[in-house]
Amino acid sequence: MNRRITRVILAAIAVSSAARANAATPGDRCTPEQRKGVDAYYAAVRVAAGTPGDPMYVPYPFPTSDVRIIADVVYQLRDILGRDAKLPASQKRVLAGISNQTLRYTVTRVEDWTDQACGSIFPAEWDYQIELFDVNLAQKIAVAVVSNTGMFEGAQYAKPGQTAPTLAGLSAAARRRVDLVKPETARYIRAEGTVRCDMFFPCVALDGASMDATVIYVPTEQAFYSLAHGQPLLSAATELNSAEGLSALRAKLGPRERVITVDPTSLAVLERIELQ
Amino acid sequence: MFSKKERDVERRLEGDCGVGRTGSERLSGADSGRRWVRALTRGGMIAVLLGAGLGLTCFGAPGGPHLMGVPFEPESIFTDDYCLASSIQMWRDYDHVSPHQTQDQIYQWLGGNMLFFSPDLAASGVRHFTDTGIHAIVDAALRSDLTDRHMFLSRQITTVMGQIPALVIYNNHAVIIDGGQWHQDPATGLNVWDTVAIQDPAAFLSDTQFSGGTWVQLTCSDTNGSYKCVDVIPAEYVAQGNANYDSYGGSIRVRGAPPSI
Repeated sequence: MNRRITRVILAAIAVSSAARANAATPGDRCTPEQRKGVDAYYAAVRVAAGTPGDPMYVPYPFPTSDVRIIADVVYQLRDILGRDAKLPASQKRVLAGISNQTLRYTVTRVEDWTDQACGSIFPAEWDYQIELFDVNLAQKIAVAVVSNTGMFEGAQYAKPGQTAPTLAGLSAAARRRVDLVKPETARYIRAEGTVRCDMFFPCVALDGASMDATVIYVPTEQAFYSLAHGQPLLSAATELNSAEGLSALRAKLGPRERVITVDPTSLAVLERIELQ
Repeated sequence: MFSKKERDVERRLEGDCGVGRTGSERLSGADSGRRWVRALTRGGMIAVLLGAGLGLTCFGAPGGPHLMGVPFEPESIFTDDYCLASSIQMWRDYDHVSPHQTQDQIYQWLGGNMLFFSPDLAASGVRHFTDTGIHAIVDAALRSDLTDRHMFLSRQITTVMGQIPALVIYNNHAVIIDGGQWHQDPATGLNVWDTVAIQDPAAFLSDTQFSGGTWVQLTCSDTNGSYKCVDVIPAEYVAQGNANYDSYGGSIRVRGAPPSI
């Protein structure tokens, strides 16, 4: 694999709005019962769309363009941060930037391989990550995430003076370490397990017809892992849902192995690979 | 004879917010308490209790964020998964316990090699290394039982109300709660739990904020897959958390979540 993995073209990850709109909804990952819960949630979002102030209100439910995604996140950040004058500096400058229109936004789609994709309380079949850049400082000052419904999931704020790494910067770091992968698809992913691929700093999944494994880049470790195709999957419910399951799984894993969720109910084993 | 640590916890349980670090005002209790009781008895939802707690005790008036000021200590070694050691270190530093312990020292005390860790180990570490968590226990809920989950959230929120950081375990990860935010909607009268602030050892940035709905989904949902509805809180807050649940009930909404959760 290492010979084939000679260059990663992570720039390809900058998925266009059109690609986002055309991407398949991974609805079949949910069980019929979970799907009922997700659909009920979606219905509640649509009902709330007519009621500003409702805890599920967003201006543009299920946004499919960058403009609408940004409008949703700006509305919700203003609503959350604008309620109190006693904001910490990290949040105050975000609110000021919104008010003064001195922020630039980049939108990136992140696939959700966790069980939240099929959740009934707050499902997120996929996320949109929005990086907020202060145009005067020329630096990223926060990152916010909304779900495919447009609903605010969370945010991280950089304190003044704190450096916030960008998704593009993480990709560049990977490019320096890899000569070539010939991926046909490159997706940001959010997953669970023993690697950190969260909504704020997702991992990258690289796939291609000529590859016998998916290559996962984990930015928190600046490491690459191989996710072998066709491997028997583990049950997330069994393996991660009890101390006994965790303990048994731990005993099975080698020192270079990790586990990762590959869908809302399944785990797979990753093996670390060195890319020189 | 109580130790200083125990007296501190007792004071906080009695609502003496003078020991709090936010300096936020305390609402005059009785009126706001009755308002919350009225509001909360309408339905069955509880995830709320952050809001309820905020309205009644140390976090003061609606708004926010109301942060305790837990110092951010990112995990020093991602590959060995130092999140538990980092979370305990943050709690210890919040308590201003001397001497300072490095994550390596805490990690070694915990036994090292923590790609997976048990909640019992987390509680043991909190008891050993912190001040306000000297009586820490593992708290958990049956995810299939809505009431049980809501009571769990009540106990968690009550702990944070008392200005004590709860160590929350989900997805084989440990984080520390640092505060939260709520508001009362003037149009509907609903008390809306907006956000939870945490310090996440795996984050590149401090000051992580989740919507209330996301927080419940991530840490205490009924979906399959991960170890959820588990945290480490001081035992002193269990009874009060349960009492809060009995007192408060239903017209609370969680931002981003449907009314029926």
